[in-house]
Amino acid sequence: MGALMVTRLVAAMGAFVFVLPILTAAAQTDGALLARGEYVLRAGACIPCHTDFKGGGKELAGGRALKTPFGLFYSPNITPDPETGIGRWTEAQFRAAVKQGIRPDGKHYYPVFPYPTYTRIGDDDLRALFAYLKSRPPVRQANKDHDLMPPFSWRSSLSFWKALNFQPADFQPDSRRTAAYNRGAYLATALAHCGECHTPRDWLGGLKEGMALAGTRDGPEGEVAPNVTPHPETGIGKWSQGDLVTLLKSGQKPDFDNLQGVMQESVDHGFKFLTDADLAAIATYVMEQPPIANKVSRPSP
Amino acid sequence: MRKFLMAMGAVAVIAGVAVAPMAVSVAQDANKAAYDKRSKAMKSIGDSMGALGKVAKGEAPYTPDAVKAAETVSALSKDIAGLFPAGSGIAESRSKPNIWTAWPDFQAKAKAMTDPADKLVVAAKTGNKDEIGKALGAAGAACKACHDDYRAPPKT
Repeated sequence: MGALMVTRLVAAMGAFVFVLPILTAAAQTDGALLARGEYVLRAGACIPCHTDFKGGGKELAGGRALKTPFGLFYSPNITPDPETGIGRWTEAQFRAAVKQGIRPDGKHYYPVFPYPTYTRIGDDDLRALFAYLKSRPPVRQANKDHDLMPPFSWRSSLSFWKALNFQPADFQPDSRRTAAYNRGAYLATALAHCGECHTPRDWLGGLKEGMALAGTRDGPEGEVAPNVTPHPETGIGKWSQGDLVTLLKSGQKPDFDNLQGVMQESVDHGFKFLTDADLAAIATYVMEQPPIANKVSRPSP
Repeated sequence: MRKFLMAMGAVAVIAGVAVAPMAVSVAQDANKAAYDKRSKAMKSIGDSMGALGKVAKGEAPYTPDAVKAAETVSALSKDIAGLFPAGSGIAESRSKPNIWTAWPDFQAKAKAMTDPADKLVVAAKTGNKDEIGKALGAAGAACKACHDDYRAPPKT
């Protein structure tokens, strides 16, 4: 073996020894990033709307029909398939979609995609979510057109809707409140999008001011979205914080009945994966909202 | 005679027209009554379970009412399927129609509540929070097993 070769070999080994820790560190960072992205996906309850469970669809491939008072929506494919999913999207395009409700072609999304909530997502969570979605198996499944009634079927009317009802914003913690409350506020109003179903809407589909979380009979899929403000008679004021944590973790109500419908899907594919500390934070936030008297459930006989 | 027959015919037709809706409305009343009875029973089970839950979680003190609550659940669990006569899945009901098409399975799942409900009484009598909690968990699982298949989400 010549001296030159030995030198090269040593140099190569040196380089290997030097590079290895960097690669490992990168892999670890990736792992942490993806884990965070999956957590954000769970907290945002993205899977129930973006997966057609009834039709046996693949996870996140869209095509789930969602019945609303404005018509029938079909969720889009958010797997990284380049043709039918978000495989060709840049992070900037993803950011515009999630935080501003703007499609890569510049058109607006319907607010059935809860970007009025997601606009508050923090940058790190958004980046992690995008990385996680890109890491999922791509599924080739073309998106379906929504089946809406006019004027909602005119996508151009969305700029009008947005001017009325949407303001891009970042999450603002309240310095007078506890860290747990603020964490809960972030989870509830930037990710879990509680208000998108539990706050009643006006006839144009804007969330009614002053009625936050007070419930509506016009929830998705024709379901009742109950009053979840801490009002003792018409809301969940008689629940303990632990009751709400149990509900979000297992779908079980304080009377040991369980959830059905869209909320059960959101627990099964989303909220039950959150840490106990985060669920307690959401419960803290919800239980400290102003109680609103609003009876939405059917009167019992 | 012909006139008489025609008159009788007319009476019969009129009576028929009058009676048919009455029969329908009697059936409707019965279905509504069955639904109301069922709703009350289910609410009573839920309220009792909820009260026991508060004891199990240490949010309420243990009193003899806990045993009464467990006995309410136990008594009502004896004939849950009997609360679901055919036709009682009226518009306001959250009962899924497959209850009556998959009746044997529904009946089995409804009956599966009896045993954990009886054990709930035993647990309630011990006055031990953890025992009550465990028994509630088992009873809740029986509720869920049936509700998952046969109870629709709240509808307007």
